[in-house]
Amino acid sequence: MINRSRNTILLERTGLIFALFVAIFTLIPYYWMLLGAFKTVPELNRIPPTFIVEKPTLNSFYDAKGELPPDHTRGLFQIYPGTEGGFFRYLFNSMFVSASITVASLMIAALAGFVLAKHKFPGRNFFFLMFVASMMIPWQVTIIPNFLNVSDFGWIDSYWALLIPALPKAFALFFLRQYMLSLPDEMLEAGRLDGASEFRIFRSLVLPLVGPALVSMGLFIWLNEWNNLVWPLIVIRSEELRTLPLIMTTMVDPFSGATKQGVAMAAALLTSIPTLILFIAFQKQFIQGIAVTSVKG
Amino acid sequence: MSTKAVSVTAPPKVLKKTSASSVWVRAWRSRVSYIMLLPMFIPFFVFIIVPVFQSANVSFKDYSAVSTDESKYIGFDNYTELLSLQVREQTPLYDEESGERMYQCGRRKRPESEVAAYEAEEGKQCTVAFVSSRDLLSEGYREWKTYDLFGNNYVIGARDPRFWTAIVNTLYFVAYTVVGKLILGLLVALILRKQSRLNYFLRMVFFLPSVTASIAVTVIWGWIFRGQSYGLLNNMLIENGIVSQPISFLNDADWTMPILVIMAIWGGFGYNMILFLAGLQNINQELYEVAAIDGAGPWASFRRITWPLLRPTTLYVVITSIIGGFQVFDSIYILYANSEGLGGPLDSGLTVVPYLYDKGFRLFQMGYASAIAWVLFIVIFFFTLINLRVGRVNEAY
Repeated sequence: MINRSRNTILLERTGLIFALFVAIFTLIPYYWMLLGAFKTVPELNRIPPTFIVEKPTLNSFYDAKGELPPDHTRGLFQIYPGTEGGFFRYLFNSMFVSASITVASLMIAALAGFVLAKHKFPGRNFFFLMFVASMMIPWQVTIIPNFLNVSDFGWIDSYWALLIPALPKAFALFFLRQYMLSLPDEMLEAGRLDGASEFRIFRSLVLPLVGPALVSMGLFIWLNEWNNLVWPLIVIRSEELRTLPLIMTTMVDPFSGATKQGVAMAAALLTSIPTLILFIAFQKQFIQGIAVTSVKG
Repeated sequence: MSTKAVSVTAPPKVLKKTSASSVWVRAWRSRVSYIMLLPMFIPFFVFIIVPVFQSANVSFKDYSAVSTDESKYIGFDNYTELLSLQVREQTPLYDEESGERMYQCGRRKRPESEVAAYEAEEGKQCTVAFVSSRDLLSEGYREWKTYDLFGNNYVIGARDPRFWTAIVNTLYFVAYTVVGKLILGLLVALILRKQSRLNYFLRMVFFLPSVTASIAVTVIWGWIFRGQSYGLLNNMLIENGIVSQPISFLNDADWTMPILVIMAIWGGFGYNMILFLAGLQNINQELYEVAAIDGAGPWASFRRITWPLLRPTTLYVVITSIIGGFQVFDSIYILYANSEGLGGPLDSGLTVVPYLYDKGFRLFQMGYASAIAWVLFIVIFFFTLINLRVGRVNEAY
């Protein structure tokens, strides 16, 4: 008995040490990003590298005094003179597009999910099956006709192209509908007897009750849109409409010098901060969202 | 107003009484339901349903930037072009006049009689020369790979060798990432199973890569792996005397797949960990207590209790990782895309989706790219079906 518990303790200790190693492996890229974003150019070039920034500087973000060598790039907020607002504009584009898609797609999915969960009408099962079946179709299948259609609509190189095709999210509908099935019918019936319209019932009774599901799904959608690279790559041409993922594609150039590393890390930092903040604020919902969707889906 | 609202929405109880009335009457009574469905249904119809049919349609056309007639149907030509393979045994080459066997000496072919002299003079070995694969393969086929099997040499020809390169690369990527993410995810889930502050913190750390902007993270990895001596990895290797010159990881075809696999495992094992933790929670703790009383050690209780009961979770993790692996694109594009294509050095990082993008949006062969998309869809659909099957088994569990 004593022997076995000793073995167990040993196993647990080994496991913990292993986990700590994995944690270091996980955190290295983040730490390297933090270092790179705040190092001065000579420090970026130093061999061996420093693992604590000696003289933290904001030059990679904004080089006010022109301290970076002239043949290199300037700070992140200065290197896009062709665009009004520079990097701010790209931050805004990403924020605006992801937030709009998240809110709008959640609303229409919740509305449709409510109807499919709580109303009975001819064709209900047909609609539901169609939405569910569409979840099996990967985006690669629809991307080419969507590009051709969006070109026909004259939306290429506009916010419309980024926003409208991203609205229908069948998985959000499915998830919210499953969640709404558990709402008591008596409560909705009471609302109807009080003379509330179905829209009113949806807004005042259903939406508040599915709040947690909306948050989980919203985070999921937001994160996907924030990271979306392929679609903007195809439909956006002009510099002012670029989103952060498009900027990121210009940040890895195997032949550029160490100065660009500072700028790239600054850009990576600003791109990951919004998702980091959301993650820290909503850890539980993030994880529940994954656990629930996987168990049910 | 209030009575109108009630009758219009046809709540379930009312509906049962009037179920004898025709479908159209019931549909008219349910018009509010349809109106509420529309905001979702219209964009869904326009951007998902219709494009699916358009995509299938385009995949049977010669729809490209250079085609003369974009609307012309070419049957299954796009698909046969993609999927055609041909295997031929390589036959030795003989000199046309003397009938002597030919050997490949350096860049030139020489008859057997000259080989000994050449080898003595140059100090190099000659190898048997084969009939060129262009003469062996049918028209339209190009050499994809040559294999040496049981002493016989074979040449594999394909009408589109790049597609087969993409398939092989994708399978390689899928195999390594699925196994890597599975093992690492399961290990850390088992280690961090108990509730404690430290475990909670570590779980958050491992989950971090799954929620932070993957695009940004790829950029960071790009700078870690970069070829100059100030890339972190090269720096460490030089510092510790393992290499003297920086390795240009991103320009070396042999490094492409390992880099992509490492990045994918790093970015995905935390997600699997969360799924495994959820699966572990569903296992009854008493089973372990009973096993402990029976004298089962940690390995035995893992093998007899944890592993079998986690089977549904494991299968789900494997299938979703496979599906995700087949769709890899972002990291390859960010690290390797340039004006000549997006497969990385010697197409070593070319997988199916980047190839689709390359054909469709760089070369504008939309019909051909659509055919690639449907081949991909069939592969993914196969795994989705397995997943649905498994899901049903799970419920029965």
